[in-house]
Amino acid sequence: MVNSLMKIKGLTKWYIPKGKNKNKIIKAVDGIDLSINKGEVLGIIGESGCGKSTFGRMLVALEKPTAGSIKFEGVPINQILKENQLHFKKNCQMIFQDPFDTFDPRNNIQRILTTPLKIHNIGSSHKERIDMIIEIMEETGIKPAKDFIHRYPHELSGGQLQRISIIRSMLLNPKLIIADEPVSMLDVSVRADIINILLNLIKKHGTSMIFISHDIATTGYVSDKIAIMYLGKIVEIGSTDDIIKNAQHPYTKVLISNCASIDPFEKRNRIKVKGEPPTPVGTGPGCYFYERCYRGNDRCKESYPEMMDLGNGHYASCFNI
Amino acid sequence: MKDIFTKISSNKELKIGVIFLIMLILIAVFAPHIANYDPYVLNDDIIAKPSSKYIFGTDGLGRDVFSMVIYGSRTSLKIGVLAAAISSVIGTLIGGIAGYIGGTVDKIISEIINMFLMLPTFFLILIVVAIYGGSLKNIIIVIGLTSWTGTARLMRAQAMSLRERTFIKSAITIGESNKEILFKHIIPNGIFPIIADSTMAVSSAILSEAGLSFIGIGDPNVVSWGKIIAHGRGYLTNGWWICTFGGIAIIFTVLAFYLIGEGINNLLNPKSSRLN
Repeated sequence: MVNSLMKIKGLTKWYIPKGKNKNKIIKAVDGIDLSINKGEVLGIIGESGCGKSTFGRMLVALEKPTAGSIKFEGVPINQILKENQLHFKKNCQMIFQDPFDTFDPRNNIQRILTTPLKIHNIGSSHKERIDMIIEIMEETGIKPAKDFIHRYPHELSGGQLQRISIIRSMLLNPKLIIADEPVSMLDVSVRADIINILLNLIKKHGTSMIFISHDIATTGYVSDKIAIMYLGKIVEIGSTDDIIKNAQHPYTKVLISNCASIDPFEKRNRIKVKGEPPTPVGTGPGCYFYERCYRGNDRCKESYPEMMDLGNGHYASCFNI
Repeated sequence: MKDIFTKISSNKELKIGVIFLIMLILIAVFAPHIANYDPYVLNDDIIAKPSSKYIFGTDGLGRDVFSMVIYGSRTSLKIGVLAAAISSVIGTLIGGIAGYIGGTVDKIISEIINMFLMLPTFFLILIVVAIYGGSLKNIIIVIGLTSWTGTARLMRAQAMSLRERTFIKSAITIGESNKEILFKHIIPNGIFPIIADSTMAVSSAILSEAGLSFIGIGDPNVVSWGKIIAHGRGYLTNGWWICTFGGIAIIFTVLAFYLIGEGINNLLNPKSSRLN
């Protein structure tokens, strides 16, 4: 595809424990194939411990994959990192979950925001850089920006800090942003604000985004495409409409049927899940979801189902579709 | 500024330590005005008892012990502060690199630290001083170069815990280099326990120097408390004052730095501070 921005193939991250338990490999991310187009927002949904954060960290080269390849604009990222590390960092930014710990507590906002500009040689003078950050701060609702630039991170609220975090990433004008649960630590009342700021900025700059979350409603609102992750594997991927309204994989169905709704009288058939929350240790050989699945059969026990093409870019890995 | 002052006075150990230290610094700075004799000049009153003429008495060569103790503070403070500074800088850098980079680098550095910990430091200092001579400069450098292990281990632990914090990860993603991260984020954020540790290192450096002078291999050209005691040892039966006042001076100084270190530690670590 011409406008493909990042292609991920068989991306794997295994944590191999030291000592005797060599067979207890933790398969945090276990073979992910994905492709992100320019300007697209891809949502990744999964429960705690399914490896979605590890996946995001590998995409910005914070973690080294055990196997698999990531190609950014057709070039493997290992090669880009060797040749021009700053170029890759400028184009691949991350927004972290915890806004209170994203910034060095000893730096003030001005220093936090001008540092990336200085590193990437954007703006010719100190004054120009300050003008740039003030402009974008006002644009995202941190007003009056002049009062804020001399404050320290602990003097700001979570919502304000997450705005700063978004501004800092967007100042570099990246091609891809990885947002790792950007609003899950914020107060519900400011979540919508932050999400809208983020969406406006990426639309304006034509940036692609990978939105990692466990909140289906938010992800549905943000994304063009959604991938559902379970124990390090993608079990279903498709356009947002297909996933929310026409889910095929049993796990996706369970998730969506249990999604909280604001209408208490809405009738829903909740699908209950049995079994323990998953651990990515000693999985396989059958379908990872088999033990908790409500419609598993013997076939599911024997081998892991391949991705099935359901048309229109909708794929799911289940034998019982 | 006012904040710092109230914090210092809220902690008893720190308050006493700082008062002691200020007294010491004043004594060292105004030594020529306080001392009533030249500590290097011999005179005819040998082993004179403490009296109004000689406040702390005189030693076996007729030197005024009071003046020697006063001038000795200059030597001790110089050695303590400079040696501790050398060891903290080395320790912070080595520990910071080991903890932040991790992996093989960390393993190698940790083994080096363990090797230095196993070495009987005092004997190492003895050998080096015996080979290269016991000038003040050599003693400071040798003490500094052999006592950085504690600081390094402390900084390594700090760096290892800071490395996992989000703000370090975010510094990596915006493209800051390892060097910038180490010097701008890891070290400034992990430095406080090191400061407390270094203050205590001052007192141990002073003790090391006193030990060296006591066994006779200190710098022969300067007055130091260790040397006063070493000299006084021979006169212990008929001149108790020579050793005693030198010893009190050492205890006083070591205590001052120890109290400051302990006080800073308590201030910075809310878990260890007692409820009043």
